Amino acid sequence: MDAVQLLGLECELPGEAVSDAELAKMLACSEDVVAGLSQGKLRHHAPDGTGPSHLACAAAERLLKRLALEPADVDLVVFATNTPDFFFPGSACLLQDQLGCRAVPCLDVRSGCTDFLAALDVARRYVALGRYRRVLLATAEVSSHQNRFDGVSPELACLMGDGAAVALLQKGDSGLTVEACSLVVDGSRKEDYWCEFPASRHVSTLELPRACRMPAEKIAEGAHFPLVDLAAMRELALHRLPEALDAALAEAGLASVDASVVAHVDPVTAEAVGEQLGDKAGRIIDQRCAYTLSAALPMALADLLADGQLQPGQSLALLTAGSGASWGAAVVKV
Amino acid sequence: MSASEQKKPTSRILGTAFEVPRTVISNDALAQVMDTSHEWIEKRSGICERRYVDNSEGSLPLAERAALKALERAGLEVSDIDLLLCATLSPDVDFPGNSALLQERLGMVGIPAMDIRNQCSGFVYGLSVADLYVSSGGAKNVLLVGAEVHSTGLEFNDRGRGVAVLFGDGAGASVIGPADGDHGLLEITLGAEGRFADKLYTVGPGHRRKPRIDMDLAPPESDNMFPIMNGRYVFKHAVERMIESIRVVLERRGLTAADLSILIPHQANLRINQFVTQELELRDDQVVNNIHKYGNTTAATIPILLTETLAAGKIEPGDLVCIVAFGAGFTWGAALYRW
Repeated sequence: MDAVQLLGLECELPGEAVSDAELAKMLACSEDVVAGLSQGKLRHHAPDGTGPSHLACAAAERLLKRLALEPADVDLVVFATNTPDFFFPGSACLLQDQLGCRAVPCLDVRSGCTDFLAALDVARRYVALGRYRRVLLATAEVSSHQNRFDGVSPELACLMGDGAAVALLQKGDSGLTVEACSLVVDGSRKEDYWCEFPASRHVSTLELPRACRMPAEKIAEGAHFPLVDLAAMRELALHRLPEALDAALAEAGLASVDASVVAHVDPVTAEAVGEQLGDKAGRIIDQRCAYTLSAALPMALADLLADGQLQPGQSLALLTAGSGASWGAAVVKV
Repeated sequence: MSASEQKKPTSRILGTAFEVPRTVISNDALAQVMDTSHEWIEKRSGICERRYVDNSEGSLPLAERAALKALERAGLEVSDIDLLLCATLSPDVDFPGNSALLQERLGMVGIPAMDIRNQCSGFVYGLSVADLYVSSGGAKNVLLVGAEVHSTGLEFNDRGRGVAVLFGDGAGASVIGPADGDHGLLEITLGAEGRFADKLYTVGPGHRRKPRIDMDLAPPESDNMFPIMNGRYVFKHAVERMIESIRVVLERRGLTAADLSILIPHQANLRINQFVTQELELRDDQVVNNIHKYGNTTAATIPILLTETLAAGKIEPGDLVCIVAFGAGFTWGAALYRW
């Protein structure tokens, strides 16, 4: 495949950061509970009416401006989110409209917590084969509109935040290049981190009229809130991310990278994985923000580039494991 | 001839199959629960009946059986698949997506799996992604599934009848692998126009709203979680974009509609497809439809119709086949294929 570069990345965080104290108040729990989970990672919450396409659009406008490009220069939009604006259509179309792109294809991909890697892999292949010249890759999540804030099971509300990161890809072997990208899914572990409702499979009666996929009694039960088994997610990451790094290094033709970022819903697990990866992972870079699902890895990458933490010639591994269950890694070179 | 006209295909469909539920829902049955009639539905859409799932297992048992049959027809085993793609707009659970759940059912270990969330164009978008992986060496064989359960997302009353009568449940699967000489996918084109997203959409649960779900949205009082369609708009744009897409893929090969052996159109509305047929001056034997039996199964319509058309012996090796779809987003796409 021809070399593919990321022309640039931009992030968007909605509003002001929500402190542990403010979150504790919302969740009616103690600040110690929040701090114990969040480990100092702050989160942002999007206001009512703001969806992932809005966050992605704000980031994309800045990115295009910085690159002196126009929305008309985008040939394909690929969007990865677990928290889409609408039930359908997907958020790629909405971003295309808000940004003012031409009537180019808009692809929505989902692969649990690895959907940034899925979108990156699809995007780089389209570029490498010359099918589309410039691909806008968008990741954006508004999990604060999905997670539980009524004080029951406060974990995800403490661990997660909203945010977006976008990147523009085109052919090229200079600047920031994509050296490897792959992911693996194990659907037999789907319930380790999942949300059952709305569930199109749910049939409460076979008679007509059939009930909706999100019936009132399931809303009352709270069946529409995501559930996570943090111990299972920890075990998954510790078990799978070393092999994900090996697969990415093999594809990139490298023995090691200069630095690595681990995105995981639980920052304690991310740190433990970093320790386990060993020397070939290089310096382990901590994430600034609480977990933003698909946006977590590209947000971390954008931060590193903005801070000048990576020198030309250095390589970086981006690793993640989570719902699906899924895991994988990418390697980029600066 | 230009270079692109001579470009050989890199991927092809190795096997295809479908499954629909046993439960048949006639137009008359729908007329029992809302103010409509068989004549009205048939006249507007060509639909006579559709299938609804028989139990609470969702579309994945259908998808699983379709996938296993498609693999058998391809002469392949589950272990030969390197990538699983599931196109759907009505996933069995909220997350993870259908691809993770189907991977578990099929016992596909250690491979990537992705959902393609592109509504009625999901199968054509998925075909593009499948071809992309085969062409770029990312996978040898890809399993592409379109599977839907609409019957739990429809509003069975007078407010929802305009949309409720149109949709059905079903699943189709295709195995995509390396091309064989001149046989395979020749051209594919995709498009989208998000400014028309609200002409055919289901708002909820949507993550613009904080929170995305609460009792204020509970059906049946709220219509937040039911599809809304501006039928006239969809009709007009569907016709335009389907015709345009078919012409794009044909022109890239220096061909015209007259050269087509068969057109496999998305099954949203028979009247749309009749209009397209007429505009392209296609003969009746150049176009197939089966919407009268299944309604609109969104991402599943094309593999279902393709399988039925093959089974009827209407596609011979060497035939020029065109697949075309249009749907919510708006999104659309067409593929030109040498069988």
